[in-house]
Amino acid sequence: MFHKKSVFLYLLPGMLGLLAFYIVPFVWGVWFSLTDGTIDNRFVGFDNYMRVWQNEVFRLGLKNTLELSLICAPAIFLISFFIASLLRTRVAGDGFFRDALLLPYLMPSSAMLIIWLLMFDYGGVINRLVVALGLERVLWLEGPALRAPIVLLYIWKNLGFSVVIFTAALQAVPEALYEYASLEGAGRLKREIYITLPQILPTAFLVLVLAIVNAFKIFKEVYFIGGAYPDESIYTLQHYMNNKYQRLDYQDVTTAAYSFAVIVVVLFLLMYRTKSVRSGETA
Amino acid sequence: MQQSRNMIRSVFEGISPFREELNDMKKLISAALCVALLLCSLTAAMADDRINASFFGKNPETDRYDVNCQSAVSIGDTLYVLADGVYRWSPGDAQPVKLLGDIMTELYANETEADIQVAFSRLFTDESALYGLSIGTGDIYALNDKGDAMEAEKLIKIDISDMNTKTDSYMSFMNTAATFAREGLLYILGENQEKGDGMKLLRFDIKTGERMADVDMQGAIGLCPYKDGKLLLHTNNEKGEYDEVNDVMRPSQLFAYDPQTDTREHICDLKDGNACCVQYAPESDTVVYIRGSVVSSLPLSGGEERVSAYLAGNVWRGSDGGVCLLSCGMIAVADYEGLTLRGLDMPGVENGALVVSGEYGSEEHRAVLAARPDISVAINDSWYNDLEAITTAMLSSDAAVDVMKLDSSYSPLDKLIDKGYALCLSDYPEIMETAGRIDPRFLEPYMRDGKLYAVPCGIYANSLGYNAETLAELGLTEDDLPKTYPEFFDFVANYMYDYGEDNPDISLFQDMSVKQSLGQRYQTDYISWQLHKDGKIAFDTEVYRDALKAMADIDYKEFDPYELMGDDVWSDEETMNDYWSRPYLFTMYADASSPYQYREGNEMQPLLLSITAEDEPIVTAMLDVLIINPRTSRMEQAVTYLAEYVKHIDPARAIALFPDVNEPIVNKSYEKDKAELQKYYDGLLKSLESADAENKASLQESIDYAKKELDGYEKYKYNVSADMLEGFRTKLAPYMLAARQTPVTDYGDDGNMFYNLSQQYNSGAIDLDKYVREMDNRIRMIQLENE
Repeated sequence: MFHKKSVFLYLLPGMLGLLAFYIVPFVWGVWFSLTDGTIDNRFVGFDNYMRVWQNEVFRLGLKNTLELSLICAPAIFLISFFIASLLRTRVAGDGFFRDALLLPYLMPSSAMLIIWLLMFDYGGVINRLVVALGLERVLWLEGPALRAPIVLLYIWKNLGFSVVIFTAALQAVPEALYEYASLEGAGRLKREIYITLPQILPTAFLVLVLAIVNAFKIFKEVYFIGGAYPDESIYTLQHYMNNKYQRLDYQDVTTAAYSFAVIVVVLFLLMYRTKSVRSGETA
Repeated sequence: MQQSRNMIRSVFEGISPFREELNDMKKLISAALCVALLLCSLTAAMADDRINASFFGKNPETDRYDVNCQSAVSIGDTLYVLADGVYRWSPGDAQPVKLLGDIMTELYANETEADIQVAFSRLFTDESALYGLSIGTGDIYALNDKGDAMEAEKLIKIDISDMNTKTDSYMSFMNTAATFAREGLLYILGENQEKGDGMKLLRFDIKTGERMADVDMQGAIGLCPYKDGKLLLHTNNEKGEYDEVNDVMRPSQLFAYDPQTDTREHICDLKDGNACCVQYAPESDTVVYIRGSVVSSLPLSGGEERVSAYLAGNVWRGSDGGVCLLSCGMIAVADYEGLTLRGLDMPGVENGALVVSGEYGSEEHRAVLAARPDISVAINDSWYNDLEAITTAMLSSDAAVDVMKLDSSYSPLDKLIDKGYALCLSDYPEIMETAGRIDPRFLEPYMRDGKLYAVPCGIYANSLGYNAETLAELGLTEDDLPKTYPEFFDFVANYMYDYGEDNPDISLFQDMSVKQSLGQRYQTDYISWQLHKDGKIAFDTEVYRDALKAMADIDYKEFDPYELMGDDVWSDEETMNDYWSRPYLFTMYADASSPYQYREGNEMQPLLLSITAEDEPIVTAMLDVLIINPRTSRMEQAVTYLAEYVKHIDPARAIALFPDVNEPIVNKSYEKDKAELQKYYDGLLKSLESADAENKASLQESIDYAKKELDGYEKYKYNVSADMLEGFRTKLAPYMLAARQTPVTDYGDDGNMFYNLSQQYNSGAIDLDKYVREMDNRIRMIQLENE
């Protein structure tokens, strides 16, 4: 009995922290999104949600965020899996490659941005390559074309992290399974599908979830290049929330944030369900 | 013990038959005591002649704030004030009584003013003796109060010439922080402003004029008589006035200073580093000081520091010569805005005061306090311009702001109203009585569902202007002037070719750095036009692009020395003098909110331009508006303050707000001013008779100018004449639009973003097309976000 009580005592500091810094702000935020933000802060139900969802710029930000996420998250997932597969085989210098891939993740975005701006400048390296290929120079840093450097920058920066996770998962797959499959006459593709994928499914799911959640939060890169009001094609939901916050429209910020959270949670549940079904099948 | 109890019981039992009579007697005694107490308090109240009042505000004879109070001293509970003469006030007097006039009270009295009989600029006392001191000459006068008049007798001259600086072109006088006498010795704490070598304490013998001591008093703020032959010295903190690490003023300090030994003993620190005007009240052994508009008392013999009174406006360091205590428990503050009298620790002061921000002692504010001395008002001198700062100030638990005066261009008034941070004023008939007279155009931005939430109390506008005389010199008439902005840009671009080459002595503009100010003016009017027309702003329009192209076609180097020389022009005296001395055709800043531009003979006229030929001209007017904090705990006072404030708005200055002011406004000081000019003219004529050849020419020039002014003085008979009214009502008033805060004009990140873009465009870092697209994209997104 005493033992059980003491467990709660040990948990108390952590629980208090969780309560003070997560649960209370979360509930308070929900309440905030249901009030009108006037001096009396009256309850208005879902009026804020109706208004925000009807706002053209909010929908634009959401659309762009989803589009960027749909490009970036799968790209990171696939490329990192591919690179991790290449790095699976232990060869001399593989550590160097892994570290090199992780380096952009550790560098501050602002520092990387200077290099990126130089590369994608009208007279920069990328446009020289484009010209060398016999094509017209592109204004990469203006208008819709700005999406390309932003997507590339985001992938380049975040790829290393996923590669490290994948590599660790791949290296944990018992080598004997591959040897046995080879003896049974399974080719490379069959080995990857029937051995590797089932073995690393939990890790792959984690990588995919992280990639999507992080891609939803693409902002720093766009903000550094385009400022608070970039071209419409790269205006994200984070811009909307950030600008509303600057103007002290806290109701709109919380409303947008919770709307966004609901979307992410729904996506996560869908993915989790898919994963569970797939796990069940493979099992 | 038991025995004594029994004894008492027996005594009471013995008197029991008289119990009823005893009860009656008790009631009688209680009633008598109550009456006595009431009488005592009534007597005390009747004996308390202390008042809260303001004098020398608006002069009813001239209708102007033209009495400058320079100095105030007290002898017991009698106050003497140096304004345009010496006045006396005692408790019970309705008004100060003028005892001595015809004196030169200005600082610039100096030895060359031989014909002036009496000239002094400071009063000081030595116990019951009153003196006048001229800072310019060092003359000391004994001033004898004869009851209904005052005699001034020149006593002696002291040498303070080293504290003044005299050059060929100007005279700089000693900056005095304290002037008083004790036991025949005059103490002056002051500094030579030009030398800037810090405060010095000078000591003189009043009888002989001998300068007995000079003591360096670095960091001294003020000095006043103290006890035991010592002086109370107020200084900046020994560690330095400002604490840069914590970004605060360090507390200032009080010392008991012994002038005989030049030693000081620390008494205490004052809470506030900005405290000034420290005085010592010997009756209560209390130090009284001022911080902003709050008078505080600090009992030296123990006890809590307390707020004792609230003044009409803020008092700053350097006003010490105009502050004194009266023995009856009052404080007097005399400055250029008049004389304010306040009773210290009057009933109710402990309840605090109505806090007003954005107000710095305007005529209207002082008029309110003069009319309603029962309202204590503290001025909050912080400047609030963004929503967060304003709402925090309103909801602060410590001295929340009750009434706010805000600027319509830069303050988020729309948001404040929409978010409920402005009280609905329509429910208060005393406010609506005056507000109802205001032009609906200037009320509309502050109305929601037919209810008013803010009242305009001031209006300011300027426009481009043209010089009618120069226009005629160029052989042009009003009809030749541009009517639209594109026409104006075209006129400026072609000016040198069309007129400038034939008239090299005429400047096109009065101002320099025209490129930037012209761009800003156009943008301001363009935004007003767009908001008026469409309710939202767009920059990527044909009109805006064409205007920018037209502005880009102007070669500013042709007529603007700033464009040729950059910032070096400000230090090039020759170029500056040449430029400023020339007649000019246009100015960037012509007054466009008052009728004064239409006074007869006024050469500078507003040039109103429209954005396109199809539209009417535009004048963007900035408004000062008052709002009340809906959470104020002093609602009644706040409403009274606001109602009185708008009632006291000078219609001559804010005529654009009041369309019902259509009668000429008489200049009450016309006769007085004319007589003074005549006197000046006569004096010049007299001087001319004895002037040497060298000075004759300049004197004659002054005489001619004064004669011309005198001959045409009739035009000053009205502050606003019928002609001026007509000019204003027909040529200006119809085109005024109230400026509102937009993302382009806010003080936050949005405003900075647009400003930076404009700077990039002006410096050539981005081209016109990119500038327009960027501006348009940003304003569009901001507007969409806010929908």
